[in-house]
Amino acid sequence: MTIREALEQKNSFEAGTFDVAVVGAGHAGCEAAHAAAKLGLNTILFTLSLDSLANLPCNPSIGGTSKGQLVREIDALGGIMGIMADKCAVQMRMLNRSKGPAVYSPRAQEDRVMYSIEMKHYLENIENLTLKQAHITALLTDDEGKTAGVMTEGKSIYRAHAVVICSGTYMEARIIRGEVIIESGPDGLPRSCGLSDSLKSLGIPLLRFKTGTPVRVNSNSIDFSQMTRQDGEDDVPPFSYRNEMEGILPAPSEEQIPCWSVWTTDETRQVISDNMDRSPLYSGEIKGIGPRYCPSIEDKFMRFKDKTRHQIFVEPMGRHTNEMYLQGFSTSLPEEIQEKMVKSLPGLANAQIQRAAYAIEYDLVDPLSIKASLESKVVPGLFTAGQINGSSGYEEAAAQGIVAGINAAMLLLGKEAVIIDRSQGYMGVLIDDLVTKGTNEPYRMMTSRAEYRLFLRQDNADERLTPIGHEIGLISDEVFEKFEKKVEAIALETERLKKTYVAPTDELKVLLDSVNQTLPKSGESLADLIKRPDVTYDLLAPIDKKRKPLPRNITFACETNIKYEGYLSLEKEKIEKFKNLEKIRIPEDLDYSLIKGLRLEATQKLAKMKPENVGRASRISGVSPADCEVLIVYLEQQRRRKDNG
Amino acid sequence: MYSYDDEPICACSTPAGISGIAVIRISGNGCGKLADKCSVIIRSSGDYSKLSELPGYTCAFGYVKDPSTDLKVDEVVFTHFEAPHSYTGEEMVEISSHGSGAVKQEILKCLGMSGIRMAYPGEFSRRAFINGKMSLASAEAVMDVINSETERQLEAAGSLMSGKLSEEIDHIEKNLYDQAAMLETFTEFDTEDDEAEENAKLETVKDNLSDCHDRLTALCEGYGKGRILSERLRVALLGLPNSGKSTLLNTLTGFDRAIVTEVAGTTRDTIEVQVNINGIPVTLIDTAGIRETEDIIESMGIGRAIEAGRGADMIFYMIPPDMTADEVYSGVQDIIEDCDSVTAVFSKSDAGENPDREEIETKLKTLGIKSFISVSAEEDLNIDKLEDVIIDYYNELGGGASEGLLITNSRHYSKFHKACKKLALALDALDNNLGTEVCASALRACLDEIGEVTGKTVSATLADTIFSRFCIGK
Repeated sequence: MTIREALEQKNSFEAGTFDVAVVGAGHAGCEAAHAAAKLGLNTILFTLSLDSLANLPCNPSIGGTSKGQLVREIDALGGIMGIMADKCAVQMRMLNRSKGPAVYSPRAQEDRVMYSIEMKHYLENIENLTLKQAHITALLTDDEGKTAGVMTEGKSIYRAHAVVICSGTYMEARIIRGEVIIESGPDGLPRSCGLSDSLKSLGIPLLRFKTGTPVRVNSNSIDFSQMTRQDGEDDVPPFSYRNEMEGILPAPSEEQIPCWSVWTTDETRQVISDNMDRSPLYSGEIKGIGPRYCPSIEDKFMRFKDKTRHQIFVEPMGRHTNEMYLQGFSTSLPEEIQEKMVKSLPGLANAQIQRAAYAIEYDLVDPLSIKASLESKVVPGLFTAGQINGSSGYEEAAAQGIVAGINAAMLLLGKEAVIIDRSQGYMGVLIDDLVTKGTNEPYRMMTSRAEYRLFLRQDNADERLTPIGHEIGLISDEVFEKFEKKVEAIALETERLKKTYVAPTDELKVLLDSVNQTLPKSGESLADLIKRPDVTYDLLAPIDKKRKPLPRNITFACETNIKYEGYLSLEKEKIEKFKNLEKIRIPEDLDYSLIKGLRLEATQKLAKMKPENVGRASRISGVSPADCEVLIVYLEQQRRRKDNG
Repeated sequence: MYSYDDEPICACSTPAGISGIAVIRISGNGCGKLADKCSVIIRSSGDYSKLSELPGYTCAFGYVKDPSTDLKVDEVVFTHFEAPHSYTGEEMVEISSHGSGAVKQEILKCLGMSGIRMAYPGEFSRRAFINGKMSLASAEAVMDVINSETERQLEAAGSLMSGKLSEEIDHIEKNLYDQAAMLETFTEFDTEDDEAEENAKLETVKDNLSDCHDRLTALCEGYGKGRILSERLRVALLGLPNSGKSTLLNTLTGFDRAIVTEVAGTTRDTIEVQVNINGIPVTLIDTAGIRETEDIIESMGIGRAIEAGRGADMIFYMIPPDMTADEVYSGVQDIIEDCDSVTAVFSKSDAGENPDREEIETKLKTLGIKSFISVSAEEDLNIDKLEDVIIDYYNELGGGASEGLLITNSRHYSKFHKACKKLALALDALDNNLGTEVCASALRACLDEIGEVTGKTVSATLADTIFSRFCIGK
């Protein structure tokens, strides 16, 4: 619909003019609105319910494997998720401690209600940002088909040059429990109607996915003596680098709330297999495609028949509620079966279910129709972020949100889009995967999706992204100066460790004996000692007399850089190769049909996808290395022809 | 730089030099019509009068004519192939002609006059590759077939094309992918297994990685032989003028062996002669034409000999009967520096034993030379022993372990060599408890190297392998 047509509608009226309008105030929308407003643009953020801003409708947790890295990246770039997650955490853990630092991942249990309250209050105080409760039903364009604003259910028209849609799982959502289907958004909230039709009519291709959530149980009805307790940890860094710099650290473990875990029983399996015919997934009622990695419990039993039991985590929903979340027990079976399933679990025989589990189906945009900047290839000025782009998870949504917010601002400021590439962050991997490969299920971040995993660590997200955040203006000069001091301190200490030699004394022998290492024959540098298995920076303290006290994050970074030096340089080599292809730009108006030697399939795919550079072209399915070679030669020929006038 | 047009191209596909028949190949859509201008059909199975009308995969007898004069150039057989079922995937014509150099040149000239241009080197294979007719590995194998000249070369090239080497590499690659996927599940998820079970799984990963490492190492070791099959074994004959080099060269290249080409060195005054010894392709390098001057160094020919010896796999150092121990010792040191197979050849043994022989042997042994042979080229004495030295050198190169799988292509070798090193790093990471993700990182780097030969990419397939095989928890 055009603005003109909208204004002609009965009862419609002009409600205001903004630079950027953000539709949906989940994790993507909040980051997008915050970034745009911080970059000086007059921004309005729409939500169906101001009481459910930044809701956590599924897990009451933030972070985890690869997701923890995403949260730190968002923070390093100048986002807000890390600050909120630190503030509302009720338990902090560092996952994968038994593995290497490249996959250490912070994870926090969050107070769901506080998170929403804190986020709302924080955003209310951001300059240039207006919060508005309204149901957006249409995207409006100008006569040329460019983004021009949005219209609400009540026919108020808001003009905006850029619109960021972060509709989550709300567009045309249906909630399903067995045979019962309700037209509703998640968590009892209203769904969004009309907006996806509006997008479709503008030529944007849509898909339909499904996801789900488990039951919530009152903790008074749980016998915790039958469960394994999992306490929070000390010595977990906060998500936010800004908090880390200021020494604002997570609460000590004794003030944190525990989680619990149990295993499913034979009875659980029996109840599920007896009632599989009532599952909408198997009866064909659900047509949306669900996630493989976060499957419902019935899906797990069906697909992995050799596994007789699965682990379930019981997690607190907050400090001021008894509700406990059954992680790993999501289901779309009917409520009466859910009751039996839950009661089959150890310690839950008398469970009082407070909220039933459900599957939810929703509309989304085919991510192959968007650019790496997250702007639509179909409607200029329209950006999308979060589950509407086919992702899953709060962190994935927030990561796209901040990029979409930044790029909406860049577009209006007449600056070049900010693209985080695959070697700079998980957020780069996430967006690149979505827009070049597309997805046929809700996409979840995993560390194995990243080629340069040893570089994309939770401890160095600031080194990777804070300079970018500072350059565009999301990171203040003050924060940046502190960051630079940290980088310098790491470099100095690493250098000192490489240059400080220690003699093979008895004192050193005792230290090395304790980790089953032999004493070197002659002097060895501290760095070389750290390279040995199980030798840590802390272990060497007694023989490293000149050591000055340094914060844990700095010594950790030094230790990591030294221990993994050889492997990091392998990845560096790969990154250089990767960057070479990313540098070869492809003009947006390139006519692929003119390129001789390109196979037909590749020609069609490339013409449809219009990749920004050869690196991205090479990752499109159906484009072979030979096609890329042809493309490179053609672009080179064109360049030389141009150079020769 | 190749051009990426699809104009009709032509080239002689049989090797340069004189042969019984030659095959000239033409490729490009519409090439039959163009070739009509310079061809006359005399007999075909369906009475076709034009080459372009011949149905695909049939032959016709006729001749090639000069399109400007209509004069007959040579009687030939034409074969017509239709797109896309041809070597290049385009319309093709093959002309089987007589094998003299002049005839071939004339036919190519006539084709040129008809609008068919000469192909760039490798352009046929390039087109076949671009048209999806062959994988990168096969394309490289075809190039090796084109370059191969002896039976053993053909065998090595054939094993890549027919898939023996491919099979081995596929096996290694697939196994490495499986291990990579296994490592990911350790890295990414709480595996829900107890520690003993996890350690057992990790041991299996280690065993598999070690096995792949051994296989890759064996492949790399085979490159010594493989390279010689594709690039020839270079044997330099070094020594003073009149030390018997030329006579030995003539004996080694006697009429019973095919002289493939004779190339006069352009700058170094050397002669290179290609021979086959027991199926091994050998290039003999003779440092001929060394001037005699007052300068002792120059007269020794050392400067040039060093040049010729550089890059040689083997050196035959000629010692005539009248050469003193001091003369031998003073010159040989610089010459043999870069070569690990030097044989001292006491030449002209028919003219008498070198009086200093014992002293010479003692001195040369201090330089690491172990092989001493007296020969007489004139009387064909011990020439077979000299050949045995060459055969033994070849046989002692590594590569037997891979059941005759030889890498002949230097790009493959360099990729596998790198892959091998990275795999060793991956194993180190496990041994040093650096974490499965560190091992996985090196393993991916290793797979990237292999993928550059097989044309696969790592990350694209990894996630699917994980999903299809493992139940994933929290």
